[in-house]
Amino acid sequence: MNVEPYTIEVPFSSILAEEAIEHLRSNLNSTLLGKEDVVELVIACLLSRGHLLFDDLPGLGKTTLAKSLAQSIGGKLARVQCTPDLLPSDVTGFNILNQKTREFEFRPGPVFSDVLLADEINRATPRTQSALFEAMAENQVTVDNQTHSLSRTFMVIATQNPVESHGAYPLPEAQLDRFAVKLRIGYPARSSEIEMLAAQIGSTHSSGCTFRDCFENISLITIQNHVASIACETPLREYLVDLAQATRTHKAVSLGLSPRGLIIWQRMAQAWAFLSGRDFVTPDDVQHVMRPILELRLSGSFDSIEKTIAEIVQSVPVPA
Amino acid sequence: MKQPAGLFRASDAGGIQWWIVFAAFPAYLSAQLMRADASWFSGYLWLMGGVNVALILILGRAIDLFERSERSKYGRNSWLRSLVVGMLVALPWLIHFVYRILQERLGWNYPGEPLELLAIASLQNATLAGAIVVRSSRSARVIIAMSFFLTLFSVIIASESRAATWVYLQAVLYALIAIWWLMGDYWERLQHRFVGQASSTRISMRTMHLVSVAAILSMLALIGIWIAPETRSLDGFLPTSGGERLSDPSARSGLGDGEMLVGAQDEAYSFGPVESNLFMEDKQPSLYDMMSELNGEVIKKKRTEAAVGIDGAVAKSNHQKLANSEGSSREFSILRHAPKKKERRISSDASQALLYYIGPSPQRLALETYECFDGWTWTHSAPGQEVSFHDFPLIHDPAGKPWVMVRKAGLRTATANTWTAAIKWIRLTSPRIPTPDQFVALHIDRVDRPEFFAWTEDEVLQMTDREQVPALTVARLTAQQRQVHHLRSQANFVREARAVASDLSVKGVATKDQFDKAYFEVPIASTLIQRTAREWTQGISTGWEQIDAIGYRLQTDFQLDDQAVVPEDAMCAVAHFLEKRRGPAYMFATTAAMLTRALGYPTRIVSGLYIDPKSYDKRSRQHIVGKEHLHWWPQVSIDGREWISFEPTPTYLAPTEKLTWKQWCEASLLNAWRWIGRNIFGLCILGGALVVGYRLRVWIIDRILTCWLTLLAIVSCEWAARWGVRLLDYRAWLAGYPRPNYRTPRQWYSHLVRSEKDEYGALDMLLRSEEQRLFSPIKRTKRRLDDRLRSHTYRLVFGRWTVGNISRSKAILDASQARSSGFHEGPFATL
Repeated sequence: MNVEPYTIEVPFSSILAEEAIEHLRSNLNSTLLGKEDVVELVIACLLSRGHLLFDDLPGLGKTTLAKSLAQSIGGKLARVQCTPDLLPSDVTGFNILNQKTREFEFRPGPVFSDVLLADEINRATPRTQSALFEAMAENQVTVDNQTHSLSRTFMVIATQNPVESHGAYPLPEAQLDRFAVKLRIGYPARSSEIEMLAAQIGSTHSSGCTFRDCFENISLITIQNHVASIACETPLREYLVDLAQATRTHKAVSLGLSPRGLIIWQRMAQAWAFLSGRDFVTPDDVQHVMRPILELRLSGSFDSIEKTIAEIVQSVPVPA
Repeated sequence: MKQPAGLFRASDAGGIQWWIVFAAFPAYLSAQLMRADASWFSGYLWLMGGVNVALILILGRAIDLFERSERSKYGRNSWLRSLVVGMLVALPWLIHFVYRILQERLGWNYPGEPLELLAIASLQNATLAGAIVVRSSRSARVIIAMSFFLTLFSVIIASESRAATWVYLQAVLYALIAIWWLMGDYWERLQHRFVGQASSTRISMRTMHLVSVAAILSMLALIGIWIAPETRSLDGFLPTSGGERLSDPSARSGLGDGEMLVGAQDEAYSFGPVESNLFMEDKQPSLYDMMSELNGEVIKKKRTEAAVGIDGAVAKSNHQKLANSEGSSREFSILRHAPKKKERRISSDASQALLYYIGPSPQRLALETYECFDGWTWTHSAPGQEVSFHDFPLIHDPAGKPWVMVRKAGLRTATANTWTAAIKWIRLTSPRIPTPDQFVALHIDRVDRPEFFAWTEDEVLQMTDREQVPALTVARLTAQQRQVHHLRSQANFVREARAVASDLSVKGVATKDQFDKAYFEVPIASTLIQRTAREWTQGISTGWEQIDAIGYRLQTDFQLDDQAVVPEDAMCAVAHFLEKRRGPAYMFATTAAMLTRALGYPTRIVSGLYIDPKSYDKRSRQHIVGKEHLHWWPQVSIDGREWISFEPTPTYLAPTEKLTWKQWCEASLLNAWRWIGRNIFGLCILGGALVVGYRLRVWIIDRILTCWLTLLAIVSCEWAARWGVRLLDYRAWLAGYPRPNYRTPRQWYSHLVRSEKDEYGALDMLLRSEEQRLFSPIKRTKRRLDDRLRSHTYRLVFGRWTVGNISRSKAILDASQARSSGFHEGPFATL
């Protein structure tokens, strides 16, 4: 069974788009208090059709954020709690023999949703992790030689726990590269925590908040298409390529940025320019989204990823 | 075509890049060929070239081995490689100076190479050593460029070389390689744009200060050089210096050799000196005629003087002496009519030339000397017989040309510290040969008989038994370098001169009294002259400094005026000149001679030809010397035999003096010091203006830029925004908060905003306009926003964002960062 797109594309309207994004921002900020910068990056990732990887401690609101996001875009949320015994078919779905019709029927897995929350993804075996490859990169899954398309707004929000390394399977570079950004939420500020506690008084459900669909008047697809068309002029493209080259030639970096990573970087910069109210990308946009993109992809013998990224930025002059 | 991708991005840690060596070595070889071909000691040069190559290979290998053994500890030693290249660059110069020392101490006969070729030798070593020893990717382009330069140099001078074929072949090969490289580089850029690793760095304020101070010092040094003609000439480095004064094809303007020698074969009048002895018949003026025409006719002064009767024999003798003197023009009267104004006539320089001259200028060539002065007339009346030497030694130079040595100096000395010039007689009718100070040797082609030459009684060389030197004769003259500098520190050379004069029989002077009368007598107005001399040299120690002071005073306080002759009724010509402060050149020479004599220096005056640098004809590359270049100047004897000229006449320059580096520095400093002393008032004003300007530099430059911005804003608000951002950058730099080139203006300046909200709005609009211009496909902001953009720019530039405010904002920012112990990293701090 193929899942058809549920949205009807309408012409882009900047006012409607701004309303929708503001609504989404408001929803997510009310879920995740005091983390406006993380929320902005999550929205940018959504608009650039990227996938998110949260690398943070448990209990910081990763799942809540994913649920809120799914509700806000009016889509279906699926959750997979990754464990070592999780099988690929548990994620993608499988064919089952219908005793009545004597035919195999496809039972779609959790990937057939708008937002897939893969919790503690590094606890799943590499085999199961690889099952997500095709879904994340090509927006489709193939089961028994049959290809099934996924939702056009399909987004994976994966979490991994950096503390408990026992029994964990680190994500391979190939899969890491399919995520757009890696974010850390971090502990909220003191005032945010006080506010959070106050909001919980009288509440019966720990995560009972429900959000109205933000994209009733304009579809997410329309905004995503508009974001993809935001201008990134030649000096900026050269700047991006120079930065990518700098990651490859940096003496402490053994694995630099891939061309796929470069494309994702440009899409993220476009999304950031859109969120800043511009229809063209500037070096500020490129640098704003730089760190979560590079943290995910660079590997080598450096002591501090922040210092390495700063060195890379400093080695390339901004276009002027 | 296979592109040389990555050709210039060879690994820094790799081995020898052989393709660079293959490019560098032929260039090295070509330059070595040219140097050897130009030298008289080619075998030695080949030997040294081989030694250099071996040294480079050995050192390169040694560094490799050293690094390999120490790599784990220290890694690559780029400083060591640089040091080796530096040593090899300095090697030719070191060897040259060692040879110079050995030449002077031991009398070796190796003249070395011209400094131009030494520079090429250094470049050769740098190229080859760079190719073999240095392994950095960035050096590759430099080495290739140096190889091309060496090839170009070889091609330029290869026309007369025996190895021209090889050089041309190599040049063609290089041209093909260059085309291939350019095409490959083009494709490489298109397909794989090279990352600009070199980020432009901003200049710090400290560096700017140092550069400013260095620029001011350089300017002062230039002033010191400019105002002191003797300091302009160092040991010939420029191509026009003629290398080491040898007849060397590598010297671009040697002494009439090379193409000029060939060119003169066809047209004797129009080109430079040529080894020819053509004879031409012409109506040519004598020296006496020329002097009369140039300076006016002599006035026969009617003098009424007290006299006593003498007997007839003595009177006849004296009368005969006077007649002889006048008849042979061996006297020069300073009592003359004003010369006639020159009529404008159509004539060519060549037709009026007395002689052609090739050599260093300014220069003075003596034709006659006068020792005795009676207050009105100079004469050669120094007692004694005519001095003639017919036993001049004759030597042959390495090219086999005969040189008549008229001074006791061998060819070794002649090549070490002498200079050479060539003259060609055109219309000068005199047997006398114009000669410079410290004249050493003479060469006329195929004239290998010293008895053709003799000294006149006034110490000028002449051709014996001839009425004149044949026209179109070419002579080469060698003289010792003018060395006055060391005399400045010798206070007692006058005493030595007197001692020598009294002991020796100088020019037949039999007694000290006669010597004194000839060279020390101040016949009239001695009190005035002595007082003037003392006044002008007050506070100056005895020695050449005093002579310089007199010459300098005459040059600066007096005016040259050919018409300002001494009137017939004047009591004393020198006193009249000192009073009127103007006169012709012979009055300057006479007065200078009288003043120096009054101070005790043996002095005479000389008439001859002044080689004016302005008389240089660029087309024929020679000086055309006419009768208007007749000149008079004084000479001072330094040891009773050697006479040194000095120049008291304004607009006439003294010959350049060859100085050592130390002397050159001393003279430059001294001259700069004197110049400062003379212009102290103007310098104080200038200095004050500079200090004020320096203190207000920020304000001044800022105002200028602001005015510029205002003008731009009138024309276009987008230009205003564009320059507004630049002005912010400049002001931030002045405020000690320069924007790094990896930061955008928005990142850098937005956190400096610390006041009202509309300030951020103004900055945001300014930056947004600039961002749109740079990064948006639609370059133009909406016209309705023009006025707002303009007003925002004005608000920022004229209002809030001054240098002082930026400094204060920065201080506040620093303080807040220190409080939070945070490290502000722009966008990185947000995550």
